[in-house]
Amino acid sequence: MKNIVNLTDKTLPQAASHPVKARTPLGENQLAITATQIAIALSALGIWQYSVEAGWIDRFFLAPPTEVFAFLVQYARSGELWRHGSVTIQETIMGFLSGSILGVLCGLAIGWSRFLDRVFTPFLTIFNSLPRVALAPMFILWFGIEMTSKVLLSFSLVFFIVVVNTEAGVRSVESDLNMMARVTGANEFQRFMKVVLPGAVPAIFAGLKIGVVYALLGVVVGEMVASRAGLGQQVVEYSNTYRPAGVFGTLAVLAVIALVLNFLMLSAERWLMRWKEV
Amino acid sequence: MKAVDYVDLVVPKGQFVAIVGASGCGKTSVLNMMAGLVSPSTGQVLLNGKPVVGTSRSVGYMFAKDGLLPWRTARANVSFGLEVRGTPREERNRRAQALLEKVGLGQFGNAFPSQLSHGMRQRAALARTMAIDPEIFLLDEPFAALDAQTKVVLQEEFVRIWEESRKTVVLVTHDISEAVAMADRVIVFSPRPGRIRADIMIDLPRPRDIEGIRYDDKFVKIARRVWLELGHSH
Repeated sequence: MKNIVNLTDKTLPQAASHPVKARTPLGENQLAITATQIAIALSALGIWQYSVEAGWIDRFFLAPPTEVFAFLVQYARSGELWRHGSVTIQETIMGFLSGSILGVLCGLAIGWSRFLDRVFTPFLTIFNSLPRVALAPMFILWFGIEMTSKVLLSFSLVFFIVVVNTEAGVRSVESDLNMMARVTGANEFQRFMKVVLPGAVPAIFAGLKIGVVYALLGVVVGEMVASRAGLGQQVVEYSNTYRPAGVFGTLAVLAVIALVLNFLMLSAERWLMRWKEV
Repeated sequence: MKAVDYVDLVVPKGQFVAIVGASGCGKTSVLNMMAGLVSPSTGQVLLNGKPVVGTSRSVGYMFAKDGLLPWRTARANVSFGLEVRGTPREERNRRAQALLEKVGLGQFGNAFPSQLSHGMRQRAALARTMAIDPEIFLLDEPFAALDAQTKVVLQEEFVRIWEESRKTVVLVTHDISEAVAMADRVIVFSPRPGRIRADIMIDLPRPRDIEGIRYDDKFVKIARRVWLELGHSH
């Protein structure tokens, strides 16, 4: 008892000597974080711009940010941006939707059924370890140079990622929850719908978030191999004709598309998992 | 490997039985056989004269983990059993709310499990078990994961609610004072493979004061006897 009293006596004056209002630690100061990020981005762009203008790097290899920007303005005005961009976006959405819907369904079936799991796991492992983008030329050969081949390549990437994650999600559902459902009188269908499916949502979303990135990747690679339109085709065309501003401009557009897709996924995830935020 | 060896136990309707034993003595296995979660390798379990095959909807089961679905509010968790039985939404919400109030969670119907304390979650689990109005309660150390004070409060709560309805209860626990304070009868299991070593009637008066009774001479004597029956020499 005496020890405890002494301990508080010792720590009290120290605590009182601190200012009443504690300073926000740097890691929590949003203003400082944003300001530093802007500073880093601006100096990177500045160095990039200056290194080209000062002649350190040949314009032939690298276009300065101002030129990339000028390209983008002109690209948007001519309508080319929309013409190619819309093709890429459509292919990506189609590849992503088909791959993720089918992937979730197959993943749920495999995760639920011990039989299907044991039958298909070896195949899934093989297909998942295969670098499937390497099949892009074959997809062009099989399905032509129009949109179909890109959608299917994108599908083949998304599908396996989503299957594996969904299956893992079904398995990750805690055994107490399944036990609770059984002893509370849920039949197998109810246990699946009310416990397993919602329990797998976090893992399914982890898969979908990777899947959306791969959907775009598959489309761009497909377009780079052979295509009439699309941003991947544009990247190849601009680099083959030695126009670095076009390459970087197109890459910037692709980055924006990826960010928007990511943001949409995050919003959907937050909405579905609002129970996690406390 | 045998968990239990020879267990012959008849629980009359309305009796509160506690099974006590060291961990690993097979007391949970016996409870799970009663619940229909596992079937005995030899012998049988009868419920109202009929063999138990699979889980029964007239049994309410509670364990140390609350088993609350994290994406459901407390109210939706409590009404889970009613929902799977096809009770209309309005009625199950009404009953869930009434039960939440009974276990002292009336204000927390819309809270998610992650927003509730350990004790509150176990109260919600208790309300969920009561919501299906089971004929028999099977309890597998439902208070074991709680801190000492919350534990006593919840034991009191359970006994208070139980004394109103007097449903059959089988409580598995390793806590001697919990068993003696709550139950009408204590079955002592020997260590693995579990056998019934003693069958002790607890003739303490009801309604019981779960906390206060621990200082009663008679309680102390019975608790001491259970302790010795568990195989401790002193």
